[in-house]
Amino acid sequence: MLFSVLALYLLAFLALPVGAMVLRGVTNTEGRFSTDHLTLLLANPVYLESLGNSLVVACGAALLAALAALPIAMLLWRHHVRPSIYIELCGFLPLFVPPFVLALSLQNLLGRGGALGWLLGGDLDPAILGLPSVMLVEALHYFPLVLMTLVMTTSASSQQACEAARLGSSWWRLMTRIFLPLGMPGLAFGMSITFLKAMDDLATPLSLGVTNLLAPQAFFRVSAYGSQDPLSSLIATLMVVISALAWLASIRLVRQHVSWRSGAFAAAAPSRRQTIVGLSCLGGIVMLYATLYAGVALTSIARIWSYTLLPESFTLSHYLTALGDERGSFINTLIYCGFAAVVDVLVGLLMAYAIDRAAPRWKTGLTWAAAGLLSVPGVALAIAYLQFFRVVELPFFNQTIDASWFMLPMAFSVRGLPFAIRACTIALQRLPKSYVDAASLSGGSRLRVATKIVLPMLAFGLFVAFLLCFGVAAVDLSSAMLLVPSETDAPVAYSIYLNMQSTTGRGAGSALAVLSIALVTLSLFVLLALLRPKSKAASSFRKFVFTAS
Amino acid sequence: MKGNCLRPINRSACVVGLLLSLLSVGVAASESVVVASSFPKEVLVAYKKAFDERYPQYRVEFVNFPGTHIMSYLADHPAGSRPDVFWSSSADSFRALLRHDLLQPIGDRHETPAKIGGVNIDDAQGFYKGQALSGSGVMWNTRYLAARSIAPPATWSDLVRPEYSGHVVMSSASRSGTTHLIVESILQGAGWEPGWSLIVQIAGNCATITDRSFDVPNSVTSGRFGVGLVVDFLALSGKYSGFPVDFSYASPSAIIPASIALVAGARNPAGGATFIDFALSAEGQRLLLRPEISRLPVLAEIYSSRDKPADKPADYPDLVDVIGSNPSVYDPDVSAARHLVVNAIFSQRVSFRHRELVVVTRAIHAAERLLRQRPNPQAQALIEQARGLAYRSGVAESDELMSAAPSRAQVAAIAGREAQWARQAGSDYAAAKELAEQALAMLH
Repeated sequence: MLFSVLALYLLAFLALPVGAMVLRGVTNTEGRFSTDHLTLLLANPVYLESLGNSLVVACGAALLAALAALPIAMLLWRHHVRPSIYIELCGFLPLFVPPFVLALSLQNLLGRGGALGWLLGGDLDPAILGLPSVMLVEALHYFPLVLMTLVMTTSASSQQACEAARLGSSWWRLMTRIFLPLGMPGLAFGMSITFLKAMDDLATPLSLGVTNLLAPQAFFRVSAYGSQDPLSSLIATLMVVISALAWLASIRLVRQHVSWRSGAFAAAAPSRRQTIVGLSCLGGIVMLYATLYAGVALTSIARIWSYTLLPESFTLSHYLTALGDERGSFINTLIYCGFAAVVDVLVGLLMAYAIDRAAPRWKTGLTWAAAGLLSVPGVALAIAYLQFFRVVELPFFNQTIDASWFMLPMAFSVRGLPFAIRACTIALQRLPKSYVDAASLSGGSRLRVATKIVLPMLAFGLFVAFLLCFGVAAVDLSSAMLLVPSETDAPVAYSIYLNMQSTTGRGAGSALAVLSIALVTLSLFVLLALLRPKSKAASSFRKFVFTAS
Repeated sequence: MKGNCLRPINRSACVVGLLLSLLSVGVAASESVVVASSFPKEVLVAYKKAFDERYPQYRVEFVNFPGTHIMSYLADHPAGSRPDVFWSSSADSFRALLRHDLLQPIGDRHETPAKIGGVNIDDAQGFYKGQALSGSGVMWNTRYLAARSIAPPATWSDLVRPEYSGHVVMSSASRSGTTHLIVESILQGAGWEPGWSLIVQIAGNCATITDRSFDVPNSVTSGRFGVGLVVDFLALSGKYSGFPVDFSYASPSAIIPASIALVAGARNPAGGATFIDFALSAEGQRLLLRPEISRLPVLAEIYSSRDKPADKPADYPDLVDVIGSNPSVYDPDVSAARHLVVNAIFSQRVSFRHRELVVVTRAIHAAERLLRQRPNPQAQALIEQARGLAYRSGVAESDELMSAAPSRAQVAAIAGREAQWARQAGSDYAAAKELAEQALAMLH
């Protein structure tokens, strides 16, 4: 029964809508297969250019982030610097903050109106640079993620491997033979996330006035001609295919075996020099990001900031506005993302269980398919939902699904599912079978075994899954922009976007952005601090990213 | 054994199911009034607060998207799941809605005038009413222009001058109802081909084409760019909020009422009508004078109200002056008929090709600068040719698409033509750039 519910969920919220969208792109009005729409798409050079640009931006962002992360990670590895779990967590912040905030911050910093741009003059404004600035913003945004996944995979065997290999090895040899192979899973994971997110991002190019990318083109077509437009279906299908290919390319590297034996961590206390190198490296990065986000931070407290180095008058009223008028969006975020995360944990656990029990020949296929869900871009999923649920009425209510906010959490849950499946798989693997066996043999009822043994042992893993899915949903602006039925129903990420569209400075939007970044950081830290004594939070968090199968 | 794991999950699934249905009940039972509007956050927040306070039985919710997209939005939403009120500056959209029977009459119980000067405020059949007036023009940042010793522009044609190159900012006609209005009033005032030439030249001087209309006043108030093409209230709100910006109505410009209407198939028609009554009442009209809104009310008594003189800044534009100085040549029927086509031309020739357009414009400006110093008839002919290629629409005003009834078939036809226009724009800009460079080489 349970598995039929699972199948129904996957069918209704993933397979059917996406399948119908793909069909719409390749059939004519009579429902026959036709390449008319494809011919139309290929005839317009703008779409081909958008395809090229999207690939360049996504690949470029992933490569730039990797190129910046590699030397730093190598330096940290070489000096046996092992950042604390809190710093590692900071590396995952990009997953929970929408990148367009960085784009707007850079406009304030580098545009001619204030700060550096005002001081230096010239054309540093990211909107003038266009395409390269989208790439740069995505790279800068996801760089901490790439760096931390790299640090996490390499530092596992930092000291031993490094010491062993150092004897008589050159720097170059050390890097190519030891460091890179060790770091490959982390690097591939970070780069593929950057690629997929950059491909899917809608708000960043729109904020920078860049139109010739796949996501904005699909968005423009849907908003100008309605969701039934076949060309937007084709563009969305194209995005799904590219993302799936990118994910498949990286998956082999991600799933390489990584050793997590605790012996690997048993390092001697770091020397003074090592501590200094580590601190200055990480301190430098923190400083860099503090500077990058200064544009938004300053705007959030500026009353009048117009063509001067710094704001000429300050106010806290934007924060009051943000807290007063936009409280609803925080509550919305809690509802949608909480709802999506609960669905994710349930479905994820079920799917992880199914994959675990599956026949060996199905196992790999299922695992790949589950991870492949990550490659359904938010824009594509939203377009598929708009087309599919247009005429579907909510049971018992005289209202179609797309007029309610119901589609949002469902879209969020599909987007978070790959993370949930992964976290639940780990949680299930950590469940000692012998405990369950022992409890059942000693006469415990199924319910008793479940509540006393299974659930408590799974609790931490499920909680991590819930948090991740919540975060991924909270930042999913690409689907929110298309699916939000009204402003009152907007989640925080979309409210930030809307509040940035004011005529008199972006104060309220910036204040909202600062508040939500602070809130995300704080809640992650508090949760970790609360959980840490009880469980080996650090290692299971690390383990989540790189499944040791 | 594994069955043990499944039972609690089963229970949670039930709980989630229950929760889901409870939440859906919440959605259906609320007495919300949904207003689809393209107005900035400042306007919406002010009206929401005032209305919710005045009518506690209702709660206003806004759907925010460009006014130009209302037709596709309503096409995607069947009756019963539509917003109640449509409130926007996009006159074309109201015409289109009326033509497709997507509005319901709102009665004649309001005090607002049907006509001011020569401008029709209300729809003759009583389907939509003017709520505020707006005209368009240029806004500029006084500090930005002073620092570069550039004179403030007085009208559209000033913006094509080379000294404004890279300092102007505008939005896209297809993504902003007010920008569409600016483009259409230039097209109607100056004529189809001369109008497009002017628009494309201004766009060639733009540093960027912003996605939404709000980014134009935002970039000018912050001093990121110097000059913007905006509808008056977007500029005035910045000015009266204390930013060093100024605004001037430009010609040709259309004085157009921002209208409000009740959508056919609304979920809550009674609530929608109440919101419309409120927006047209003296209380609702007075909200327009707030510095962060700064729109021109249609109710004359608001301007002369002596009881609240502090409401209105001293140099606030006067309704009669504004209308008198701007003889409107705007025909909303013409505009509504070619709405999609004008947007598509703007997208394919300007928005999606902006980079190439800027490069061509700079090359032409550079060649012309040299030409003034060293007159050369041959080079001049090349530059004229380059201008002819770069600054045109590529579509005849008599094109059959213009008068075709908007339908699925027209959208398909436009998609086909869009591809053609995009290729044409690409080759035009490439050829124009080469011609301008040849002229430049000749003059060196």
